[in-house]
Amino acid sequence: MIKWIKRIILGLLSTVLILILLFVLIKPKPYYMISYMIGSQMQWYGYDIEGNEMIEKSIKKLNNFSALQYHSVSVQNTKNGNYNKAIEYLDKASELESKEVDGYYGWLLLYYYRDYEKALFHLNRYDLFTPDFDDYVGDDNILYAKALCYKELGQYSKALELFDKAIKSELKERDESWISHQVYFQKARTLHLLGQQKKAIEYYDKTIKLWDKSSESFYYKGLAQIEINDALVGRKNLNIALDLIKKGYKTSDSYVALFDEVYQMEIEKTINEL
Amino acid sequence: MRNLICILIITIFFSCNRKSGELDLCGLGVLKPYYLTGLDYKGGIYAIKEKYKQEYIPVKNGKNSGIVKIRFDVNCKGETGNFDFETYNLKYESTTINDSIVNQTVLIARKLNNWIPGTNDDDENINSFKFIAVKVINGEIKEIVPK
Repeated sequence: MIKWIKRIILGLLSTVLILILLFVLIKPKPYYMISYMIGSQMQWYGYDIEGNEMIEKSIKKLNNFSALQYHSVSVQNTKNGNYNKAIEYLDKASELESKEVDGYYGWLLLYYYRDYEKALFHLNRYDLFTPDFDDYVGDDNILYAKALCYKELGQYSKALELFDKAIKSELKERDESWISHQVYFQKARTLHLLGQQKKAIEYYDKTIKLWDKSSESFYYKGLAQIEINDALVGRKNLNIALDLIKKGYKTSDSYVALFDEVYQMEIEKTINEL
Repeated sequence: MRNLICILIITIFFSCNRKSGELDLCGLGVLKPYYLTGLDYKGGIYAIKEKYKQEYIPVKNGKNSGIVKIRFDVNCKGETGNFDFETYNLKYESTTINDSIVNQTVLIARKLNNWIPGTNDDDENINSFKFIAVKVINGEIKEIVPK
């Protein structure tokens, strides 16, 4: 009896071993699917070279690699700073399904790569898919994202036009209290960069009305006031900003630096240099 | 086959010793990516940019536009080492760029000495690896990412 049990177990083990060997030697399609999945996991844990090698081999063997798969490989390469791979894969994903990919691509180029011209190309193409609807990219209204691109390119008039359109678009669906304070803040920053301090202060105030802990708004409002010789009030606002940021209040994002994001060190430096 | 087995083992245990090189890594020398450990820099990306602003000298000749990606390890004491770099053009293709740009950007990264080590689930300081990418246009630094 025991002899038979031993034989059965050994038989099963041998079969499994032979199947594994055949799997590894013949390398059918599922082998490369598994290889792709393992490669992705390895990338997540930072083993770029090994992970990318496995993924590249899988891509060559699996002819029907989807846009979603290219997209996810690209995300991990961006996180690990392999920009050549990240963009190569995202371009492939975008070629296959631009409607699905362009929103993310535009957002990524704007916030992560700070490549505003290329970001605009993808955001505009994405926007054209639904001309009667204002899409969202990440958490941003697409008009706001496009406005940020123009602002960072120094095309302030175009940026202001789009910030206004974004505000109008947001107000179609909800009242002002639901609009992200960042939209008003960025409009204020653009006016400020244009040298329109008084108008900018008006919009910094609108931002503060929406979120009274916006240290960045107090900071830049303070700077604008100092620039128009209202130094006493300006200093007061810089100190409010410092106090707020010390308590942990500021607008930020877990993954990317925001535009005109402020830092405690920055506010302290400004105050010390006054 | 051997590679596949090694890779499988690495994936299963999510960790693997790495050569410590010039840096004394803590514990078994396991390194985790910055996005899993919460590795940070005192003063954030602002302080890193300030350091580059203070120390970088613009390069007016040669192939002076592109991106320098600098990858390095930060041990549980916040010390850095094992620096490595790659360069890309502004279309994100691998290329070479002016040596002076590369040398300066890597050297400044080496001087960043206010790293706040990453932690594990038990809130113990651990080793991490990190990268910073410096975008240079016409020899001048235009952007440093990620945060």
